[in-house]
Amino acid sequence: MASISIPVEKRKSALVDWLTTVDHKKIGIVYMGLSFFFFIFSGLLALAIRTQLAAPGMKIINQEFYNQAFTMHGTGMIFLFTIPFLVGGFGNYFMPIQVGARDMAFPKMNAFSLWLYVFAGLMMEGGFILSIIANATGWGDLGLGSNASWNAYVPYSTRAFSPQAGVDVWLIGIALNGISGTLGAVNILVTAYSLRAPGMSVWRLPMFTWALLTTAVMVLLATPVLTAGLIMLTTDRNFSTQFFTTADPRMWQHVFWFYSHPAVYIMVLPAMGVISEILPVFARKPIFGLKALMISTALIALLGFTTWAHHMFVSGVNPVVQRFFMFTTMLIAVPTGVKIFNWIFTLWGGSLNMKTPLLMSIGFISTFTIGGITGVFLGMIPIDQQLHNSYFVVSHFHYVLFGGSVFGIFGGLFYWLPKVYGRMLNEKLGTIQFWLMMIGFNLTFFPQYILGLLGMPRRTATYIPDRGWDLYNLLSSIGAFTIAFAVLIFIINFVIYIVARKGEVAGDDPWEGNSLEWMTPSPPPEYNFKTIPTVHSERPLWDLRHPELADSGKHH
Amino acid sequence: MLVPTVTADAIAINSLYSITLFLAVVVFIIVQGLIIYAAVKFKRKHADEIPYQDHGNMKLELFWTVVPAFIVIMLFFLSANTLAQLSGTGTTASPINNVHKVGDENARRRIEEAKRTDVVIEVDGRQWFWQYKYIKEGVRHSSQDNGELIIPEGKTVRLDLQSRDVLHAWWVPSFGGNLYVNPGEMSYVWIDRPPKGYYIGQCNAYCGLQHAQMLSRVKVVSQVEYDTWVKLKKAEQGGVATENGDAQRGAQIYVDGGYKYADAIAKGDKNTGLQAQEIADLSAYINSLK
Ligand code: HEM
Ligand SMILES: [Cu+2]
Ligand SMILES: [Cu+2]
Repeated sequence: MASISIPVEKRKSALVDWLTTVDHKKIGIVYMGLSFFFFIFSGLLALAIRTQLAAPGMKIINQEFYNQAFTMHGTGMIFLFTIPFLVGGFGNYFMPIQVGARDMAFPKMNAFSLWLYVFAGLMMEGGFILSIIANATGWGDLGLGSNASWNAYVPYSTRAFSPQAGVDVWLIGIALNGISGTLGAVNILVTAYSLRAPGMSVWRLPMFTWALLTTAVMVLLATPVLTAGLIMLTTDRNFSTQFFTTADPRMWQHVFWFYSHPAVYIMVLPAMGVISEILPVFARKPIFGLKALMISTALIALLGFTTWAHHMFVSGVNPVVQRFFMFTTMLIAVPTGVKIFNWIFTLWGGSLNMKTPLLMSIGFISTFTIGGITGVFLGMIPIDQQLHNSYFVVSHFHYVLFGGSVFGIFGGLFYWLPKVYGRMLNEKLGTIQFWLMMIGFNLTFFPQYILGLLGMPRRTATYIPDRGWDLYNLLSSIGAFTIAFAVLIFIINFVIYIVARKGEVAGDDPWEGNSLEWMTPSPPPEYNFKTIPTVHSERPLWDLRHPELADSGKHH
Repeated sequence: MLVPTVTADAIAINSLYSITLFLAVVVFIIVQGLIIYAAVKFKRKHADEIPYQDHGNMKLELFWTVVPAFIVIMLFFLSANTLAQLSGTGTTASPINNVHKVGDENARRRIEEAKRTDVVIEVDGRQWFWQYKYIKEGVRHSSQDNGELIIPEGKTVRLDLQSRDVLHAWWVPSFGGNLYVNPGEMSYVWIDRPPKGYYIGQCNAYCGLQHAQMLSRVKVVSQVEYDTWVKLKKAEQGGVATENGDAQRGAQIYVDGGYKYADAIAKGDKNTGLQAQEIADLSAYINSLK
């Protein structure tokens, strides 16, 4: 049994306490809070984009700002919201508790990751925000924003074509953020490897933890490649190195996508983990095909490293190589499909408790499926040759990242916030939020498939009338505001029922959970567990509640 | 695809797309149907209900692994098949890359042998317009000020694209397919026997400030109109236009929209706002051009 150092109550001010904490739960909360802020910020940029595109020829925002807006929207959503929220937020807070640990393996490094993320985020967004302020107050253009687009293709992103300092600040910010993420991944892997409770074998790991581990492996293998690439691009820009400027024009694209395709799974696997936790709890059934789900997660991660050049089917890659990437891309649909059917059959024959976490998870399965199916279209070279860079692609990846990750995140918030704060969120508001999100989301993004098929390219600040695009763009913009309204309802829900503590008291285990976090009080004490529990099955808490039906008694 | 598909390439891509869409709709209906059915049917009826503790079913799981695997592998082969039908892609056994470094003579030769071509146009992508150079015809043109790429109907046109600055991409949706245009490399796009009509495309690789304005308007005209347009354009660019009165009028016609009048003249259409005598003079003038 590990020895516990029960903290002596030194009287620290709350602020100093939050700034110096090495507690994985507090670090997790700061991650969640801050990345949610970046979600709102990047979301507001999306609203600006959608307002501008609501009708042809609009001049609500100027072209330069539009280009910065989608760049910052994309990088903000990916690097400052989705990944840090799922891995830094949910991961930090829940993974150690789920495996029965008292903290992460390296608590100080954990704090370092957090503050490096904060610093990186300030760098990425700071220059952009200063630029906006300077423009608004008439100081003129500071050139501190980046308009390179999230994939910063060379040569547009080189000094010759984008001389402004904003691109450097932004690149360095993303690179530092990558270092933060890489350290976080090391921490997660070591924690899960060495601090598991007795009896917690691989097949008994909770699905979220398993997904997070797989994600951490991907982060560890992929992120340093991007970080190195970003640093090389920065030195090309500032110190006349020629890593990319004189290389094959596809060199940057390979480096970028070698990270950024796996990044899609880095964003979506933990969210899949979240819903794989929620579904069995709210269906009162074991997850259907546990091993198949776990293996498919690992297979997706593995195959995820072999598909990157499907983003380069029109870049002039050797055609034989292209066919290889088409094959791997088509294959990855198989383990993904396995997951979808296993989730559905977890619901099948269950006793479904239709609360917000389950609604969000069902929303996830439904929308993510559409994202997955359209991914198969884009994996087929001839179809991708037509639809590459069109709004079809924009729609496809939002079905995966919003329809998947964001629905998963909200499901996780409704599921886990009671654990974090000891109060329940309001169910009625939750249900309204879910339906508004579901309708708003499909209204925003389904018309974008049609726009892509009608030939509308992405990253265009405006468009001419008479191409049949007007109606679909208008619908899409209305949808975006519907989503914004749904998010507003969540914030209201959070403020009233959690911040102002109007919510019902949650108790240790409001949902009849299966995994170890539901054994601890809500919120859990600093040391998580008085005595570390011993685990006998994949649903330790179910076994306690239903000894007669215990998983640990039988073999499957 | 929801745009008219007018070339053999676009039609081939579209039929692959349609097959995939059909399968996608079937999968969509099955999956969404199962989700909705489960969500409605298995709602909790009373608080202490304990359903059957089902851990999985090997046969079912094998089924939904094998069937999708079969479908995607089939789609892979269909795609490879379609690819081989597209212009200038060679065969599956020996595919041709439609992008190569400037000055790579071997690659260039393979491209020239890949498909019989009637008209070759060199296209330079620049921030933020396209410049067109008709090789045989010896005329130049550009997409600035709504300039259109004029090509003859029913002929196979090859665009030899190059970028003079950042990445651009050529994409006219009705012709099917888009392709990046890179600095230091040649990219090849075929427009295979298009019918008469007006088609709009747009640069499809983000290239900076006015990327949204980098349109490629394409006008496919009859051979006669095309020849007339070329003659006028050549006269204008060769300076013939300033040598005599007719020529000045010819230049004016070009300024007024060139091929539109040329079109009217070629067809003897009277509704151009021109006097009969003027039309006769212009026709004579155009005919006198080489
Ligand atoms: C709040 C709802 C959202 C709306 C209305 C929205 C809207 C948009 C639109 C219209 C674009 C295309 C801009 C253009 O190409 O000109 C875009 C791009 C993008 N979005 Fe979103 N988005 C939303 C949420 C998200 C989320 C949650 C993520 C990621 C997790 C995300 C990631 C991206 C990325 C990566 C791009 C590409 C940026 C680029 O082209 O450089 N978005 N979004
Ligand atoms: Cu990818
Ligand atoms: Cu462009």
